[in-house]
Amino acid sequence: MREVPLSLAEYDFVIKALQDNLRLDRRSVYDIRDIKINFLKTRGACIVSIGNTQISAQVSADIVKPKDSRPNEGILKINLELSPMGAQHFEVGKQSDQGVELNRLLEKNLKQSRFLDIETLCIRAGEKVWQIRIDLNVLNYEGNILDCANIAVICAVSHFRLPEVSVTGDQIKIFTPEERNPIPLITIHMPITLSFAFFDQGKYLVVDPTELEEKCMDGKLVIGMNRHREICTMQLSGNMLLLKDQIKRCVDITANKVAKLTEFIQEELNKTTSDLDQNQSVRTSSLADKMSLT
Amino acid sequence: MLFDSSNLEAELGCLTKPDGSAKFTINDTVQLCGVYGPGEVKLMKEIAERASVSVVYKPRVGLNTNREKVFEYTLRSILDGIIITSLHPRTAINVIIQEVQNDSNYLACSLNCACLALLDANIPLKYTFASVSCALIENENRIIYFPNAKQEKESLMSGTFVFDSVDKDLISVNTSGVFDQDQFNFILNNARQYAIDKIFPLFNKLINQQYNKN
Repeated sequence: MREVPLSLAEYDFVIKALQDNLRLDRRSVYDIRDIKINFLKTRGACIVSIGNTQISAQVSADIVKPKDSRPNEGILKINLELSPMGAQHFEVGKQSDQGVELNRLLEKNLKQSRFLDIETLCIRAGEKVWQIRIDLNVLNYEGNILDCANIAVICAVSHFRLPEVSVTGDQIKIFTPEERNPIPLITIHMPITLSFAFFDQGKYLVVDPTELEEKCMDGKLVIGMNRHREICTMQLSGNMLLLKDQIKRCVDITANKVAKLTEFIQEELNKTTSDLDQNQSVRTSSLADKMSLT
Repeated sequence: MLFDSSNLEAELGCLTKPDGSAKFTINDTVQLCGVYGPGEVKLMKEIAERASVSVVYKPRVGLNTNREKVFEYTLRSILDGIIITSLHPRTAINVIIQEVQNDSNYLACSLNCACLALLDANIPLKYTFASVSCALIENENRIIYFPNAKQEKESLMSGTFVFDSVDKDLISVNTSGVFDQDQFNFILNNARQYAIDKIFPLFNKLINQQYNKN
């Protein structure tokens, strides 16, 4: 189905409201919508939502042959799909321009900033390495897919556990979770992105744009940064030019938000890991209860 | 003896973008369904006298394979018969099902999920439908409703049954394993009773909640 077109009235309304520093969802211009991270029962799976935008992430691991150019590095694959569930104009199979741009940005921010220590994924140099694949599906599209997907990848990867492997001579043995506890992946840092939308040739700025704001904006600036204030990505798209001061101000805002977000994500992660440890004992006891009932 | 520890949960309207959406949980299997339509149809899929129904099944990991194609085909053939397509000629109704958590009972879960999502989207249906999957354990003549992957493998036969809400008649059945007529009738009657006792009341409860709220 075709996308619902933007009407002129809507456009005018959004711009007029912004002139008075107002947004349609009553946020202030620097606010991010509520972030919810929902970890699922399977390791490495989570659903992250920013406001009403929802994205599911699933990590899976495979053993493959490494690239000839990098024989002692594992492979990280990120695949964001604009699933037709997300919006009516998303189609299956076909990568749209938007899809390609988002995938490239995610790759740039996470893969090229070496978010995951891929050298630890090597089992035997030149022969066998782990391939970590992250599947992302947009469940509900209400704007700002990038930031949501980026957080989803970070959470899913931190939540995932890799089976332990032992190498003796030519033999490679993969241990099941019952034999040996699976090990977490090693992440080096958390590059978090923040999207800014600009209106009226950069006169007005908005953090975390909704779908309607994305349709009305002149251009978008994406900044990826970790909590040490190291910039990992910066991309300006759209038809407009910005002043140096404007970009500097955006970097300052990002640094501020990233510090808060990193703390929040860390907190959520700690909560689930302690929950999972507790659940294991609870699960076995309830099973025993069930057995005695029958 | 009937042993039932199945945990069934459902949620209506969990997504804002689709016209109708639902989430259905059977034990460790969770699926999401979104419905768009009736809406604009592609020229290739346009049918002059009725709506064209398309189903997309998204796996949890990786890209679509033959397994998903089979699911899509089965679901489409069932849904196409239940939706009153003649009311909306030259439109498209898209049903998208997303696996969230995997265990077994995929077909039953997606059908129940799709039924709720279609109701939520206010698509005219001939009747609502409920799906039950069960497995027959060999020597004890015992039925397990919504078996997990291991139970399904060990069972003599397993099947997914779909019933309508009006006459509680069988709409569709999908079985695997070897069985005779008596065993089939036995399992069919039990599955029907299960749908009447457990699944239709769950649907009723949900719809009541949804519309009493507003």
